[in-house]
Amino acid sequence: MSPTATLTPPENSETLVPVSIDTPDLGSHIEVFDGSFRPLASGVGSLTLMLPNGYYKARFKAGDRSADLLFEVEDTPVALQGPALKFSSPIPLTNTSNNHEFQYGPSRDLASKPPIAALGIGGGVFIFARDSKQQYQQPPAGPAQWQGLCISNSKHVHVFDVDSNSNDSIVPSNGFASVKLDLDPGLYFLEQPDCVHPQMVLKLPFVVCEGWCTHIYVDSKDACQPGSPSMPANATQRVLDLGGAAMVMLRLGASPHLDEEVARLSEIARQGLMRSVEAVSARELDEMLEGRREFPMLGLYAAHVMLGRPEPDWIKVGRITQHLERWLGSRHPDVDVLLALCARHGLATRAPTLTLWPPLLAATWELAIANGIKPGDFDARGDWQRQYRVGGSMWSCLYAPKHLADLAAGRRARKPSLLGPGRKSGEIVEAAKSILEAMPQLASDPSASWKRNLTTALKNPDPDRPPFEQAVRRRVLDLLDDEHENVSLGDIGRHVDSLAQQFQVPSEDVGEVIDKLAQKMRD
Amino acid sequence: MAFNDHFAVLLGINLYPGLRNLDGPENDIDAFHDWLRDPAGGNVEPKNIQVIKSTHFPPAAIPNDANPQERAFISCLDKLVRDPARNWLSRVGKRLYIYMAGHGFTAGSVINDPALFSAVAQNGDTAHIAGYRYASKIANAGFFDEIVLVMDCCQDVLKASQVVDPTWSPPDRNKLKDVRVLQAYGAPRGQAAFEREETPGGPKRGFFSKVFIEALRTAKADQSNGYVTGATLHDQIAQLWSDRYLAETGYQPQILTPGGFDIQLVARGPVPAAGNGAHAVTFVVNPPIPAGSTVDVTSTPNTPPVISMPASAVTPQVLQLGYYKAVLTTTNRVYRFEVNGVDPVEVRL
Repeated sequence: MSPTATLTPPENSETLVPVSIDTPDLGSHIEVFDGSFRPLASGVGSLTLMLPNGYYKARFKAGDRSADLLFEVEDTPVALQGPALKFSSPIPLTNTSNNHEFQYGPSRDLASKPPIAALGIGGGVFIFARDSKQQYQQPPAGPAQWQGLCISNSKHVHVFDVDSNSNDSIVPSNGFASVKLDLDPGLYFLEQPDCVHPQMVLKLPFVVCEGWCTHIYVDSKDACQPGSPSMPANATQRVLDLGGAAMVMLRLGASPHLDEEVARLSEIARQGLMRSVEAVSARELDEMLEGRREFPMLGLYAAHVMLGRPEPDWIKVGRITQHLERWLGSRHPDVDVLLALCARHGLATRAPTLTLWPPLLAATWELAIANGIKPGDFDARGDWQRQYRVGGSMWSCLYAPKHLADLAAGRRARKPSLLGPGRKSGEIVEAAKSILEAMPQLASDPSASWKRNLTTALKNPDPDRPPFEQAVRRRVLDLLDDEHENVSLGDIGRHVDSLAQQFQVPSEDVGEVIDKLAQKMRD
Repeated sequence: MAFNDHFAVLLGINLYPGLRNLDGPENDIDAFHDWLRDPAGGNVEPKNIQVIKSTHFPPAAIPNDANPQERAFISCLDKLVRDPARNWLSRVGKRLYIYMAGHGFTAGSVINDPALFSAVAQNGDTAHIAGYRYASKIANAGFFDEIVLVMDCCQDVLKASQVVDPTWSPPDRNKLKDVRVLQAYGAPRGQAAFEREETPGGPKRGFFSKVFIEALRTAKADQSNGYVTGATLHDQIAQLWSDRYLAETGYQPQILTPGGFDIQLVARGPVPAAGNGAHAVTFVVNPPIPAGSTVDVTSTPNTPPVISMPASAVTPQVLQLGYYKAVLTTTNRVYRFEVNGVDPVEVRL
């Protein structure tokens, strides 16, 4: 379906009438249905089509809001105007459902103030965390949402505690906390301990580029209280929704004020990408292609919108990517992945060496995985962090143990796995089976004491282990417990492989898990 | 005569030594069990109903020893779909009910992939029963023509974890497209399910189970066939939930009806004359009502009305799915509306 569509005239050659539909937001998605509820055409921002006499429905979507408008087509051209949809946004924005003056004003004021600390030079970050359900000048209902909020670097080492160093810009009675810092260009994480399992942290990656200030806006959501991974009835608290954060990038030295229109378009585009709804209009794309709109995050979303189409236009993706590279100057993992992809499609872009990982957008990470694009430094690439990636978030958020820095350091010193790198799925089964069966103790063990050993060794779960390992433990225990199946070593290898595919775990990590299982069988 | 070809597996977990105990699931399972055996309800042959509850097992001191686990659920399924030699059967019956209540979660980015924590779940062990994945496997094997999957549990999104595919693997007969699967989830993705005492000091019940079973008993029949269907059940649940829990929970439970022909759950009342796909529409005409005016409803512009009735004496009408325009003649009052078979329609002029 395209923004402009002409329907095939019905057999009785009814007259077709022009219909034009516009929306106040350029990024609003429009879809038109006929009386049999069949989708006829769709577009973003505006839609022109020819329709025969009849009743129709136009559906408008922006962010988390949608609205329907029934209309009729008779003999004369029809011009429809869709509604301005008040979607919700982590950024305080006018005409959104969760905006408050007492948060909107401070978000703009604080963004324009000088940084409170210089932890580096060249770039900066502005963080505005809020709870849109907080009432004006009321005591907060529970613990502060930004408790434990901090920034760590790409090695997962803490560099700044937001909640203890930003006293002047934390106003609990109005539900917001803010900080602005100078930082070196690079990859960072905004992170916070999980409210249920404080030994785990949720980590939102962000990038600081030379000459740019990255703005991060986070709203709050209901979450369960400590003591249960499943929410107890009537016991919730408000926590920051890092996975639902919004980001924009503004040039340092230019106006520090967030352009309302651009922020709104970026938000609609971001939420569209999150919901797999096209939300970048043809006009915006054109402006992006011409390089007239210097808005990196919108550019990233636009590139992904095009890559999500059945037949991506690589020329256009390449042009946007080149603009992004020109604007941002310094390394950005998402732009690097796009550049590498464009180079593979024969476009005259350089193929960069990926040094920062992970990309901000989960979609970029998926593209990298699907296309075998990996950072140059194998040990630093952090592919193993995939085990900690949060499902369902549009960002490459991680949910990982607090001591991820130690784990990351440990990864660099680890022994090579018996399984070796770069194994494909089917090979893992065979390799795992041969590793396990090659153990003489097991091969000559008619009483299958390895099963007992393994059951005993796996008895107690270790919450510190990555989710994949936890799932393997549970699966192996279930297999060993199956009285009807005489579980073989090959079966275990097959199931580990199946889980590895679901968790998207690289073969090196599968090898480590297999090694550990083998060790437990021997012991 | 009870249905011999309807079957049910009911699973209620109250005791979670590694999490937090619940009080409602077993009560909910009991209530659904009652409805299933009721001749005016599910009317299922009692011997076809298998029940797994926490109280069927000795209490466990530590999470690792807790029951029921996934194995118990698999054993019930095996009894249904395998012969004594453990060969897979071909067709087993017309309908299978699967009802699960307890703690639950979802993960990943799939919208409907709920899982019930098994009793052994604890920090570091998300042992679970992947409800929808089981239903899909059963459907795909073609054991039943219809599956009713009900899960009254939270669907918190566990962050880096996954709902894992069951190891239980019946034959893949590619029957999924032919089997009608009705899914009813007490909480949509990312939301909590709740339980509460019905009366002070009384037994606790899950909000959703209470509404679901009540809706089964009170939902209207589809006028086209005289059966409570997935769609009419959905409407009744929406109505009951709106009245009782919508303000408190902020969400509507998810009822996903099968595509194509809807599932016919319970026969109720005489079958009216309306054709397939017809749905009731009510009309309200606000005063003043000009003398002699009529309410005219058209399905296409510039065509004769499909309904024309005196504005002073409007009555409920039956309309096919589609878009319509109602006008109050002699005035400029217009109401465009949609009959989609899901949302109740009230035309106000």
